[in-house]
Amino acid sequence: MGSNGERPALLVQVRSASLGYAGRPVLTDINLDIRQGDYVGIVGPNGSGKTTLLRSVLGLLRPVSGVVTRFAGVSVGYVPQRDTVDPTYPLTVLDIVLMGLYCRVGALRRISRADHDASMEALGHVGLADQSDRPFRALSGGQRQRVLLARALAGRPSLLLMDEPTNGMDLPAEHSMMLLVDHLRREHGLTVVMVSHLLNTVVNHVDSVLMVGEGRIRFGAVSEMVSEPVLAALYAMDVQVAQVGRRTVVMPAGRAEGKSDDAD
Amino acid sequence: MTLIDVVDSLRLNATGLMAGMAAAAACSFLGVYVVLRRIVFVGAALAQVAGAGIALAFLIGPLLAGVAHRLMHVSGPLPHVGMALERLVRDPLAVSLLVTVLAAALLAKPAMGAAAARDARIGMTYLAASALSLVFIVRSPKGLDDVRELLDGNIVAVLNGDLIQMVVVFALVALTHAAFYRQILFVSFDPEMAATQGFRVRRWEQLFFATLAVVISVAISKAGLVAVFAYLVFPAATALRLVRRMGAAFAVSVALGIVATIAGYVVALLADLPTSPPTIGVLCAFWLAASVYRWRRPLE
Repeated sequence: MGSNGERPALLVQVRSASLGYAGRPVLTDINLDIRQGDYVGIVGPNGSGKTTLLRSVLGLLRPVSGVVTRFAGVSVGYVPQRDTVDPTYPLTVLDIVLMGLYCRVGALRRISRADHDASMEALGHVGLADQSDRPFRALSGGQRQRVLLARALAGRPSLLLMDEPTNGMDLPAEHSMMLLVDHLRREHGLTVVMVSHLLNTVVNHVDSVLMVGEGRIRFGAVSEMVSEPVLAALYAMDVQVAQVGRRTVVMPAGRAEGKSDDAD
Repeated sequence: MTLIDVVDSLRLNATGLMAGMAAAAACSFLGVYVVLRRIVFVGAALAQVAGAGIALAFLIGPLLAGVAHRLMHVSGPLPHVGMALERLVRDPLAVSLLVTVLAAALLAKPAMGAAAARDARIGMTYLAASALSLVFIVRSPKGLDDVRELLDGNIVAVLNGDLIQMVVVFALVALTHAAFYRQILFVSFDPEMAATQGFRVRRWEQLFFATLAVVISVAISKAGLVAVFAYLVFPAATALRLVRRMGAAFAVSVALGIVATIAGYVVALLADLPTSPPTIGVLCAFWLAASVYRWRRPLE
């Protein structure tokens, strides 16, 4: 993303854009290229504009100024936060995955066998093919998120945009979800952009990081962006970056309050 | 009252009863969306607006009738205007339909900013419509008779023509919903995702609210305000406790609305009551029974 040396196909381009709501910019002077194969994590403090950026790329928000271009032939799969989807609807897992194909089916036409098969295949990709007939509301939080991922995959997207895909999950579910995204990306050649406030989750999976803060963005490779000075500036606090085995861990600098030397 | 008297009354008022059943079916069908979308108070506000429209028609009816009569006796194209006006005066539904569709367009508009803004708009619409209904009724020549008709409806006075009109309107709404089921469902369930898929969310929202306004206006003119609001809430809330599919939710909700109408009508006859309270009593009993059943056998 954004580097001029690589030449994979350009999927989304943002040029000199101010992004925000009702004419009020949250982010200004945004320039961004999303290229085929990119695996990007959008991180930043709460309220910094991560979701504003994602919604603008999705086309849900018109830029206040500047241009956001999604190139012809780019099909987008969107995975919203699962909390935005109401589980009280009496819908099965398959009903929800089929929604990912509604735009193709059109009015007054029935769901075809091919659409049904495509949905089942997408469910298979997320490991829930055997749950297709279960009510969505009966699933765990992690399973619901997988269903929403399957819905996005059903349309065979080239670009997958995910909003807080591991929000509210316990550690195993979060880990499993991220491994699944890694696998799908490799297997299907997907371009993935995900918003997350979970820095430690994101930086250990994505290739590049887009940091959003104080109305601006910065992006680059993980190794370049996940450094103590950069993160300290972004979060306005002292930050420590450590390696634990093969994992990068970001934590507040200094000792945790309430701990003493002889605690153990 | 004996059983034979009840059967005779049902036979005599078959048209009215069928109109009540049609109103129940249409409202109970849309009620599934109303309950799922958590817009019960939009239903209440629209019902109140439709009621205010009818009250307005009662109030301005004699005035407009006088104007229509005068216009019909002058030369030029004005007699045609007079005849159109007279038709409007004879049917309070036209006034009700007009104001309810306008209110629905206002309430369908997504709130700018916090969800509280939309909530406040619904509350203000409800209160304004309630206040206007009172004013119109107080000034209406018929006064308290109008209040009763507005709240409880007047299915006894339903003619065959009214019934056909209702059934045609409700059938058109049902056809619209059948044709655009996926679009309306998707936009209700996950509007953001629908928008990313190229659905014009605003347009589908307007369509849904327009059908809701039409059904409420038409139903309220015969079944009354209280019953219509009850049909929008109770059958769907009960059905959603019992089923695990959208199709089943619509079917069970409609069936409950129809059965409650018949049972409520019979109870009203036996106890010499207006029809709305016993109908709501039956709906409430269904809901309690469904709750107990679900408590004993939880849904997966």
